[in-house]
Amino acid sequence: MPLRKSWQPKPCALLPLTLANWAASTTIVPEPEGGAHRDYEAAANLLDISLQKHLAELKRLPPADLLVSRYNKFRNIAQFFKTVA
Amino acid sequence: MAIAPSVTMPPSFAEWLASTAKKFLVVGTQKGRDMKQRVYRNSERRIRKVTARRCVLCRSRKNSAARFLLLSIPTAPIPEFTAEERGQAEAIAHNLREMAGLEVPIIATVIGVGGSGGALAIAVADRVLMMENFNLLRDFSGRLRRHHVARCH
Repeated sequence: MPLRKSWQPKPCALLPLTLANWAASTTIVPEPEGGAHRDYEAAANLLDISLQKHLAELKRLPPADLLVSRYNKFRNIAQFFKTVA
Repeated sequence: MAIAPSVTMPPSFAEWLASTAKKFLVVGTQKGRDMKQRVYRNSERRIRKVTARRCVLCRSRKNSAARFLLLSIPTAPIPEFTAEERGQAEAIAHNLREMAGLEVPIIATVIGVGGSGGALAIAVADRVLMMENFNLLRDFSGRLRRHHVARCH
């Protein structure tokens, strides 16, 4: 169906901070000045710090706990209602 | 570190991964940087092909000790009947099921701009890292993308 010419799309751009509030994101990795595409090495080094940290945390968990925590994390995404109506 | 021959990545990134001296399986998508690359890769809209390949890689590493690092620009599904006829929704659901059953840690790192279907896939990971300038659009069809790019510049 052709769209009307006057129709303007309204993209719902979700920024990382918003996503972090919704518990969808765990960590926001900082980028070098001007963006990651300006300096690959610096971006990789910043990413490396986060990766090492999270790998060390995940390494301690046994596989059964890992699966349970992954399931709970997926189920708790976007908690819009905090109280029961 | 062994890198699957079907995977192409920038040499600098491969060197960086090798320098960490850990066992990784890296799965990523590339949309392309200029128009020629985007046409060649179809802006990585072949979501069924990508997710199927990812499932094969997941299954092959299911019981190994490899860390699974998903480096991804999440691709949005195409909101068309033809895409659904080719099994787009089934591919996404299959991918989610496979990722939920993996017994190795999964870390998803999101770079660039992405859409809703890929967001589902990265959400199953144990940890989700997002780059600072990442944007997520609920529907990333061509018309919305053009609008978003026009607003950003």
